[in-house]
Amino acid sequence: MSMHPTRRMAVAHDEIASQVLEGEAIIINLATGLYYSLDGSGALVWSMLQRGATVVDMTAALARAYGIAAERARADVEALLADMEAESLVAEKAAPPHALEPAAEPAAPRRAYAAPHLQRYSDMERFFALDPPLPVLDDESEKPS
Amino acid sequence: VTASRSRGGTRDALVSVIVPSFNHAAYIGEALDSIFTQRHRPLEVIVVDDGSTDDTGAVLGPYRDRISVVKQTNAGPAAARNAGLARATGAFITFLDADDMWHPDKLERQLARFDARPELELSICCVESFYAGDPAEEERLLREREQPKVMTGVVVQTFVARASLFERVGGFDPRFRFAEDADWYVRATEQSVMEEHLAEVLCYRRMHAHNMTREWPEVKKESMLAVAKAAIERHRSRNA
Repeated sequence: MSMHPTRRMAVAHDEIASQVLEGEAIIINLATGLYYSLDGSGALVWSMLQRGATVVDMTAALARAYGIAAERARADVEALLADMEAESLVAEKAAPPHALEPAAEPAAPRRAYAAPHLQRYSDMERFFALDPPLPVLDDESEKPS
Repeated sequence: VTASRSRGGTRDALVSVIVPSFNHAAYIGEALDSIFTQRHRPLEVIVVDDGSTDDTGAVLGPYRDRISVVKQTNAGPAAARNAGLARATGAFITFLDADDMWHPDKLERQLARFDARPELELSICCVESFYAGDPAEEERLLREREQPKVMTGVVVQTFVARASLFERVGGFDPRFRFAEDADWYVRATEQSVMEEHLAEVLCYRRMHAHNMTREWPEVKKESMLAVAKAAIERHRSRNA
């Protein structure tokens, strides 16, 4: 499967909580209670995805950060996005492309490359799914962003 | 380990009930009534007042001869439960949040499982949500809630645990303001806890504006992410 280069995936819905800390992305799908980790190249892709990057943007960033061939970066980005789509973490975004919000380029020297891998954990499923956050309908000031 | 913690039958076993409470004067009476209508005796009820600024003290008045009260500066549910654990002398440990309720048969039904399976360390029942008494509020909460009302109850209010399990796994991690029960449960499963899930609903969780929305979005997500990160790090160090 090959995605259109300007195709843009985005975080699927409001019940996805995530953070990128110390080069690792932790993602919880509060609708299912499953959680995931992505390190290294995967964390980079997730950070860019959160900022609205296209497949082209993510491929270029991966190739640059790790000094790998664009074709390989592209294939790995697409494979990761497909995995994340299958887990309902990301969905295609219909909005037209816009300029990426600026973000600090990773200043770290090039690291050994390992293809991004979405690690899935189910041991807290029953806890995390029990208490999904709820939108506040009649009080705009408290609406989760 | 006291004599009451022996592994014999559960019929006369002392059950410690730890009730952390922060500003739940409106509900704690119902919670305590649901404890004292349990068929099982003897009970040791420890209320941990987590720095309440409402009328909790006055509401507790009529129960004073049947409960012990620990007061602490507000430190969150994990620290409150740990304070209760430090006082508890029962062979079995249970928890009930001050805004939730138990079915009258809860302890009896779950304790019977320990007689049926002496190797059991943790019994977990199902939990059902119920809604705030105010009709307008209830309507709003129902409208927002899409999940099933009855769920496998992996929340501490559903637990009946051997006291020895807490000696093995430890208490709750006070770093986590929310999801501290998820963290504890995962640590217990990492230590191969002998657990059993009952299909019966023996616990009721009150859904109200305070626990459903206001505290939710960012702080709760951050806690869950921190709990998940800690679990991932433990996975890694085990596999290293």
